Amino acid sequence: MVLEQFSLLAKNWLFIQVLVGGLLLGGVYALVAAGFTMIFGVLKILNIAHGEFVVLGSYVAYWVFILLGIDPILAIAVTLPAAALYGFATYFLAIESVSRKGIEPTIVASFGVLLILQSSMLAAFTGDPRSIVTEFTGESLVFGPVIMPLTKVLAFTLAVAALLVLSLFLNKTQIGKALRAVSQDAEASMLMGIPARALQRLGFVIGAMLAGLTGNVIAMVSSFTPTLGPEFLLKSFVILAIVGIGNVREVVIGGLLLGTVEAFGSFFLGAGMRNVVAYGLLIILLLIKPSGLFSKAEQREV
Amino acid sequence: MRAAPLLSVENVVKTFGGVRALDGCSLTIEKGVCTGIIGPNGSGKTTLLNVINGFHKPDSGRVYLNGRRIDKLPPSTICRLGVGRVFQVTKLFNGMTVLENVMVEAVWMKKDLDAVRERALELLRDFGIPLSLKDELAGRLSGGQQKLVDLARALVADPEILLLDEPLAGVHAAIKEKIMKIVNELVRGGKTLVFVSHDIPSIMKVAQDVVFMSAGKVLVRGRPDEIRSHEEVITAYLGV
Repeated sequence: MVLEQFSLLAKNWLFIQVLVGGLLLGGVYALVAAGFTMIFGVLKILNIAHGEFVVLGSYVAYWVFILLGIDPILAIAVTLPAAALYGFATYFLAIESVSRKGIEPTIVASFGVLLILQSSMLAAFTGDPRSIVTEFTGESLVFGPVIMPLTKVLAFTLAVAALLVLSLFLNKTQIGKALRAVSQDAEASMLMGIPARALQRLGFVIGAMLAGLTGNVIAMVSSFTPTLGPEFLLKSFVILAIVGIGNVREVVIGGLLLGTVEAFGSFFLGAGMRNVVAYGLLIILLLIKPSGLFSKAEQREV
Repeated sequence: MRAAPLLSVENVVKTFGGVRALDGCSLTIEKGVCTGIIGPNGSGKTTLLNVINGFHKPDSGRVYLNGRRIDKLPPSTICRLGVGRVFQVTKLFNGMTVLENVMVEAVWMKKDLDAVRERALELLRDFGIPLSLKDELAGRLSGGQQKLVDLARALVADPEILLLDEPLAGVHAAIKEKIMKIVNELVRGGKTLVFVSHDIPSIMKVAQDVVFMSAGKVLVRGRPDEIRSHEEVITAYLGV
C-alpha cells in the first residue's frame, strides 16, 4: 500500500501538494511554539496551560465574528489584548508567587490552570466544535497543479509576519534585547541594571499573546473545541525537542519540519496517524539528541 | 586621612534555614580603596556580596551606598546606583556575541552606544581578547577568555564600586596573572574594589585593606601586614 502511495506521490505533483500543505501547517505550529519557548526562556517554566491560551484565542476570534460580525483577520486587534489580559491574570494569580518556591510547583500550578480553563470553556461554550465561515472560506489559490486553501495561506502569512515582528523585536529593540539577556541569565541581567522580574512578567504576557494569535489564526482554518489545548502543548514540546531553546529562526525551522513530517506521515499512513507520527518523532529525537538538533553541548550549573 | 565610607554594611544578619550565614556583620568600604575579604569556607563572604548587590535581603541590619539605604532595593536598581559584580562562575550571556555581552547594560540604560562600544573594544583590547572574537558567541570562548569578557562587561558600566567574587578561582596561571594585572591597574586608577578570594598571597599583594571574616562576621581588619601577623587569623585560617 505504501508503494502505491509512493507512485501516487510521484504523479500529479502530489509531492509538492503534500509538501506545501505541511509547510502551511508548520508556520502555525512555529507560532504556537514561539510563545511556548518565550515563556520557557525567560522564566524556565513549562507552561502546561499554553494550549488553553491558544484555544481561548480561537474562541475570542469566534465570538468577535459571531457577535460583531468582524472578520477573523481584524479580530486579531481584539484577540491580542484579550490574550495579554488572560496571560497576565494567569501569571499574577497562579504562577508568580508559586515560582518563588521553585520551578517544579509551577508545572503543577499551570496544569491546574489547564484544567480550570478547559472546564470553564466546556461549561461556557459546550464541547460542540465551532468554526468560522467567512466569504474566504472554501476559496483556493491555484498554482498550476498545486491547490492551496486561501484561509491556510492567510493563516501562514499571518504566522510568518508575527514571527518576523517577534524576531525584529527581540534583536533590535531595547526591551527585546533585555528579554534575551534575561532568558540567558536572569541574575547576570540584573547586574546589567535590567529589572528581570518585570521582564519575566512581560515575557509571559508576550508568550500568551503569541498563543492567542495562534488560536485566532487556527479559528480561520479549522474547527475547534475546548479540549484541543493539549494537542498544541504537545506540538510545542515536539518543536522544543527538535530545536532546543533557541532563537525564533530555529523555532520556525522546527515548526516547518514538524508540519512537513506530519503531512507526509498522514499521507502515507492516514490522517488518523498524524499525531502518532509527531510524537514518534518526539520520542526518537529525545533518544538520539535530547538537547535539540541545533544545540551545542549545554552546561548546567550544579 | 579617612574619607566618609562609600559603602557601609551595618549589623547585617542573614539566615538560611537554621544557618546564620551573616551574623551581625558590619563593614565599611572606603572610596578608592581595594578591600580584600578572606575567610574560611562558609564564613559568609559570598553572602555578604549577595546582600550588598541585592540578591539577598538581610533579615536585619542595613546597607548604605553613599549614605543612601540600599538593602531593600532590587539588584537592578543597586546596579544602576553604581555597584558592579563579577561572579565566581562566569555568567555571560552565552547566546550573545562578545560585543553584545559588553553592550547589554548600555543598551538597556540607553547610553551613547557609539561611545560605549568604543570603550568596550578598548577594554577587550587591553584585556588581550582578540578583536576578531568580538562577533563570536560568548559561549564559544575558552573559560579564561570568558572570565576576562565578564570582567570587561562589569567595567564598561564604570561602576562606582566593583565586587569581585573569587575572580582567581579555577583559572590557569596565565589568566590569573592577567586578572591580577587588571586589578592592579584598577587599584592604581583609584577604583573602589571589594576582592573576595581564597588566594591569600594575591590578596595581600593587591589589597590596601584586608578583612578577615569568620562565622558570618568580621573578625579582624587591617593592613595586609597586620593581618599576616595576626594571631587569630593565623590559627583560624592560615594554618601555619
